[in-house]
Amino acid sequence: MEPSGIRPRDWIVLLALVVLGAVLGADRGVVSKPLTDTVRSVFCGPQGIVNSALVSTGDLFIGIGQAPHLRNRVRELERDRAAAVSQQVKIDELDQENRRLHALLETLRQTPGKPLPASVIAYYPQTLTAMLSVGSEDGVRVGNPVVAPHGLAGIVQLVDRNSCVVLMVTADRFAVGSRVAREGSRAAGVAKGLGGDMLLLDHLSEGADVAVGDKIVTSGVGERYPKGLFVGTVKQVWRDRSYGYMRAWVEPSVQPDALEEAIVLR
Amino acid sequence: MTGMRAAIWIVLVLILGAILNGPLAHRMALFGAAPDLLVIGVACLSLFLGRAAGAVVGFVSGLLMGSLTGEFLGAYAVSRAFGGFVAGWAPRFLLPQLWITGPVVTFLSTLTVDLVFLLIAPQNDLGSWVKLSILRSAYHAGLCVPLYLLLLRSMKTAANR
Repeated sequence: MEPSGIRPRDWIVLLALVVLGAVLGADRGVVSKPLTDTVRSVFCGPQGIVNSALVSTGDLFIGIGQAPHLRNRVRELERDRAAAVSQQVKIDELDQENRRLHALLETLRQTPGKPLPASVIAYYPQTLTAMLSVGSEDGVRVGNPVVAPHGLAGIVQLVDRNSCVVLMVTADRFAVGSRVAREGSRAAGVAKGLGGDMLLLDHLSEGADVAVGDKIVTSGVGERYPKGLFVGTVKQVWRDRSYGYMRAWVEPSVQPDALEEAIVLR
Repeated sequence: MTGMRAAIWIVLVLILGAILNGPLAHRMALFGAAPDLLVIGVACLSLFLGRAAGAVVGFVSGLLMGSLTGEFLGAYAVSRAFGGFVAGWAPRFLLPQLWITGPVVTFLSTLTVDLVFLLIAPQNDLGSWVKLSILRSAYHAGLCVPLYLLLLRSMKTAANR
């Protein structure tokens, strides 16, 4: 530490500076203008360079300084994005449902008798059966055909008060009288489920006019199924030498596991 | 600190302070308090220069600041002259060899600068000004440490020769 004591010189210097400062402050730039102009012109260039350097690297420091805030913001945006994706999935789902219901409505308009719309409550791939949301209270009876917008889906096998079980077309106990829906061909047979993905069009007469791509519809024989319900599309045709008649693989119009709405024909 | 070494430090600190203050200081603002690098430089230098020289350095730094801002030339010059004077007075009461001396003196010097400036150029919102001044003084106290340690080391090197 310096020895204590007051040196007058220091105070005189300070006083002189105060007076000089007061003069500079009072002259309103008349005397000081050359000085201030010079200082500004000298420092303007280096300050510009420093400023450019800071601006160019500024984002980095801002990023570092705001890292916690930016991290939280990123999390918020990720949450928003996840919510938006979820919303989009819902919208897509609703859009698909809307399309299905439109198709169902159209099918309802074109279906003879007293069609009853129903939702699929459950589907059992092991037995190829589905449970619908309508039952005996709605007028559903065993043996009622069930159709979907794309065609024949199955037949009611069991009925409860508020639900029913439908045997799907691909089930191995399912069979329906069918024919080719092509002008010039009246070939008829029986479409059978075999428990797989395809139907077997059996009991076609020898020389029956069946070709790959033909549409197969219900023939109306037996009166259980109305005439003209779309059953499926022929994928392969061959002649069974053992039995002496034609057979064909038919791709069903309705994929059982994709069924969500159906119409029971009462 | 005397002679050529002091002159080099004064020129270096004032020039660098004047160059960096405008582009850098506002980017370093903390809770609304932007540091004044020239005031920090004046406080640290004055500790080693003494009252009279500290006041002159403060005055020059005020002239630089007033010239660059285009306003309050006299107020800047006089307030910083007082700041330098106060900082130059500190070695009578504090040991400059201690690292804590720098921050303490810088804090007091900044408060002095702001107080004198307030007397010359009164502010409308006195409460905010005082709050900001205390904040800035504390900020300066933290920021001065590297420069103060550099000056201290330079002093020791000179003393050992």
